[in-house]
Amino acid sequence: MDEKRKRHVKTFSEFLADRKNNEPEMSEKKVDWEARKTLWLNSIDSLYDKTDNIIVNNFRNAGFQVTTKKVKERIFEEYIGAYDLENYFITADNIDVKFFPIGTIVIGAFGRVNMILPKETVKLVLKDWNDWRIVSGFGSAMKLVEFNEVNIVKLFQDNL
Amino acid sequence: MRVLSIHIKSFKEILEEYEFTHRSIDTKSRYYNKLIAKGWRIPTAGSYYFYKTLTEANALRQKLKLEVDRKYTLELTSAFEAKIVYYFKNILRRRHPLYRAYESNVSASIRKGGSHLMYQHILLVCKQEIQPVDNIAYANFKSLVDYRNWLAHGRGWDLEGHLSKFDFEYSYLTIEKIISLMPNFPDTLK
Repeated sequence: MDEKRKRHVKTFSEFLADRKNNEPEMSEKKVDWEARKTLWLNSIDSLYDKTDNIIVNNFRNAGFQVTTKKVKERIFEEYIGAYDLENYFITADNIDVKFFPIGTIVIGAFGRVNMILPKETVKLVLKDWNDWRIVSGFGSAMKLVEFNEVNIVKLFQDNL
Repeated sequence: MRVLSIHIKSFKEILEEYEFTHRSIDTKSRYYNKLIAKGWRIPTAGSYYFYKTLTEANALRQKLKLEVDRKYTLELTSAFEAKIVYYFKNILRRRHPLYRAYESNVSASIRKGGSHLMYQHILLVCKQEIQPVDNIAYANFKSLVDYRNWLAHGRGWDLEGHLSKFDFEYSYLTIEKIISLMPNFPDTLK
């Protein structure tokens, strides 16, 4: 504390009040990891709902024999610890589509899920909570495109 | 200042090799898939890889790409270790708080070259200086080093979580992020 500020401090309570008001700006950012985990798990649910609406329903409407299965998995993440989430497996005739949530402690997004198609692994990232995007390209050419029917059709055209 | 070894590859060179190899696998797979469609069984060198259906071909293609991914991730992370060691020893300015963390976390003998400066030492410095600024970047860097060690030491132990997280592209992104948090990290080291 500098000399100028010291001169105004008269009592201990005044000192504490002064200290509270002048807490260092560089203090570590406090993150509510439990709240982040809840938002992350809710976002996975919203992704699976969207998947049911777009992928599963279209397979069924097209006459495919579809089975779906959610399987619990325990993962560990820094700051959050161990917790359960669900992988999602879809089989439409002989086509397998699988979703593996990777975690919320990822760089540049609020979370990531790997979507495994027969020919390729596609990354889905959370641009914002419940806002899922498909990662297209890499490095400076990387784009995040919306996880919607039009872009999902393109994915399936390229990777089935 | 010590000269940087000419054997350390640039990240761009590693990336281009990785992409070229990936594309080659795709090109060859497309050719093989045409042969399979004609009902041919694909001849292979040795008995390890063989297939006669598209499903088998896709499974093999994914497996080869995963192997290429892991080999290039090891190359990338090893190159980054050499570069960040060079950075701490030769580039980082003494007046910067990161250098003070380096002095307080790494013994003088290692700093002077008595034994090798490695990721394990750099992580201690980052825990002190990077984690308070960007805890997610630090956590990912730490996990990337775990993954690199797993690859470098023969994949001999369980590392479930990191295996699906750290493909080549995400490892590259993690390294880019860590570099962005290092003051005056020169382009010549990228």
